[in-house]
Formats: sequence, structure tokens, C-alpha cells
Amino acid sequence: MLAPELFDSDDLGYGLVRGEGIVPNELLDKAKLAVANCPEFAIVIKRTELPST
Amino acid sequence: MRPPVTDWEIDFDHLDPHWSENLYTLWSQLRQTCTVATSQRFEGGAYLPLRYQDIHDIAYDTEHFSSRILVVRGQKLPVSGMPPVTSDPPAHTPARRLILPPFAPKEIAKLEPRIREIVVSLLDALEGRDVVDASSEFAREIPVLMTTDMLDVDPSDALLFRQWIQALGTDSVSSIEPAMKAGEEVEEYFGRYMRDRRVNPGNDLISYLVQAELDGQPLTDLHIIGTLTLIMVAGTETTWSAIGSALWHLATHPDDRRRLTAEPELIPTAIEEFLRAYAPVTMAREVVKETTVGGCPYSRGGQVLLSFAAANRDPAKFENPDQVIIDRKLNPHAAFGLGRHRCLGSNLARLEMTIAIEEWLKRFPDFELVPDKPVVRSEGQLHGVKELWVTLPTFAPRHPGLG
Repeated sequence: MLAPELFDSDDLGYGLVRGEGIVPNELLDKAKLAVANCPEFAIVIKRTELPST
Repeated sequence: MRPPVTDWEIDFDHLDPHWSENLYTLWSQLRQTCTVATSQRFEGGAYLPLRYQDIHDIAYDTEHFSSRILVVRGQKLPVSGMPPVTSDPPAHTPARRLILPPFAPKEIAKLEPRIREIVVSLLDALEGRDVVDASSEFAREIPVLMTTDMLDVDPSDALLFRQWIQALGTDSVSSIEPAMKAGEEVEEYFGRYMRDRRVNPGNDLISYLVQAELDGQPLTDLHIIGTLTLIMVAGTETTWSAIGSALWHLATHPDDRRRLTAEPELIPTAIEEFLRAYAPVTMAREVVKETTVGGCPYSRGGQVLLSFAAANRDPAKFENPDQVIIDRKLNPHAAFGLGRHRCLGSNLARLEMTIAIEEWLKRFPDFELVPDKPVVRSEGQLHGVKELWVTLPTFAPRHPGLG
């Protein structure tokens, strides 16, 4: 698995995103690799603005 | 025997010896002049698309391309289903869904100790030998023993499995009799086990299937036998070819071999590259409705050689596709297929391959091809190494003081 911190799988073997699906900066490269390597184009990364505290 | 091919662009033949001996060079040459090769040697006409994009589109287009055939044959066989691989929508979805749970990543992960045990004991049996066939004495045994495990049948039945697979596949491209005979024998074999597991259920796949339900009904015997045949075929020939190819690569590329021995954490990435470059499977489709894909017309009744292995070598999809780069990072390969029929056993195959290579390299970090023995490759729609004679290093004595 390319990014086990970000992805899990269910009982049927389908991929799942862990937690809220927010990618911490240090895992961004791994997330991008997962997107690039998915042959089914099933993963999408979106850039969002986090609310400022 | 078969008339030799003179023009691969319009008369391809996957049973021609040139095919398996020069697969990648052949595809690379064909790509210079065409995007789809054709052939009239097969009933209805046959097509061999070479572009990843076209292969992808065909795999996804279940309206025009049916999965009812697995093998491109001279004469089409009467349809004998192996659900879910031969199922089209709408039957496909529930048939696949019911067989997913035993092959999910977390379930397969539980098999790791057993796989390692099998692999290590196969390696133990090779100790003391200086020349071995890494394919039939090692690679081939692993998925076969795992399959007999998962079905809970006698491991020595593996020999029967191999004979049936040969009969159902390559032997029946020219004549359908071997497939018909094998089909009867397989039905009788699994029928016996099904009867037994209905009365004495266990934790195996046969018990799982005799208890499974589709739309609230138990599966028909035909469905169960079809799925078990699929598991037998898919679980044995394919993975073994892939492990054989990986070992062939390592035997002939000492730099890669040394690197993987020094950096075993790289093995999973290398496995993905071996899967890409040496993908073991070419599937098939039947054209059930006329259509055009990538500018090429496909006629109704035609057979398509759907080669995921060829897709993996498309320069439009992969940089330096014919170079095997064991740390290739960008690798969206299609070795396990694309779309709804994507290989159910991919997690198991990856685990078997990874453990096989890990343990082999730990035991035999230095091995090379035996110079005067030819490497024997699989034919037809299976791509891999059937016979791989390698020299093993001489061992340090077990008790150094007694050297």
C-alpha cells in the first residue's frame, strides 16, 4: 500500500479514505503518488482553505 | 501445424512460437505501424489493440464488448460460464460482490504466515542443489499450494489442476475437444467436494460458495463450479508466471538483484514494476455490438485479444516502457486489469510475489541462468517463464569450524 496512513480498505476490499480525508502537509507527496498510481482514477485531491483560527 | 505468420499486422497468431519468444519486441514493432492488429485465423475475426487507452475503453465498454470468452479461439466454444469473470452486467455485479470478502486485503493479510511457511519449505527443499528450475520447483508451487489450501483440497490435486488448465486454455485454441473433456472432469471433481461440504462445512472457499446466496437463493451448482474453476485457473497459472518472470529478471540483471538484496524494503516497488513489465495475463472479449474504438471499427462476432500486458508497454502511458526500472515511482499499471473485472486475487498475488522474492533473495542472493539450458516461456495468453534453470551459489559450511 502506497499510503497506509491515508487509506484503508473495507470488508469487500474497496478503498476507503481514513478519517476526514484531510492530508497533512508531510503526507502530500504520498497522497499525490497514490493519485498518480491509481489505474482507475478513483482518488482525487482537492485543495481547500482551512478556516483561520 | 499452424501456418507461420508473415504479417503480424493483419494475420497475428498468439500461438505462433514467435509470439511468446519475442512478445515485447513484436508489440513494439507493431506499434510503429498500427494501433490495432487483426487476424482472420479466429472465428469472427480477431483484434489486438495495442494502446493502453483503447484497451482501457474496451474493458469499460461492457455494452459492446462481452466477457463471455476468456480465450481467443479458432473455433468458438459453446458458452460455459465462470462467474463472475465471464459475466456481463447486470449479472456481473452481484456475482462479483459475493466473492469479494475472502479476497479483501485484510483477509488475505491473514494468510501471510502460511505463505511464508510454504515458500520457506520450498526453499529448504532446494538446499544442497547447485542447479534448479526456479519456475517449476519453486514459483509454480506457491500459488498452487495456496489455492489447494484455500479450497481445502488435497495438495497433490495440483497436478490435475495443471492438466485441466492446459486443456481449457492453450490446448483448445485449435480444437475444442480438450476443453470439453476437461470441463466434464472438473465438474465431476468439484461436484464431489460440493456434496461433501454441504454436509461437512468448513472454513474454505468451497464451503463458502455452497452456503452463499444470490438474491436470497443458494447459488446453482453450475455457478459454483464455474467460480471454483475460475479460482483454480486464476489462482495457479497467473501468479506462478509472474514470480517466474521476476526471478528471470533478477537472474539476468545482477545490479537489480544486488540492489534488492541490499534494500529489501524496495521489493514491493520492484514487484509492481515486474507486474507492469512482465504482466502475465492477456484476456479476451467478444464483440456483441458493432462499434468503433480509437478509430478502429470492431465487427459484431469478433474476438478481441485484450492484452493488459501490451497496455503496460504503451509509450503513451509509461515513460521508457520497455525498460524495467525497479524503483519506478509512477506506475499505474494494468496488470490486474481495468474496470469491473479487475483481478479479485490481486492482493493475494502481490503477497505471494513479495514473499517469494523476499525469501528467495535471503536464501539465494546470487543466482544466474544456466548457460546451456533454454528458458521456456508460456504460450498464448499467458506470459511468463515455465522453465528457468538457474545456478545456485555453493554454501558456506553449516559449521564453520569444520570447513
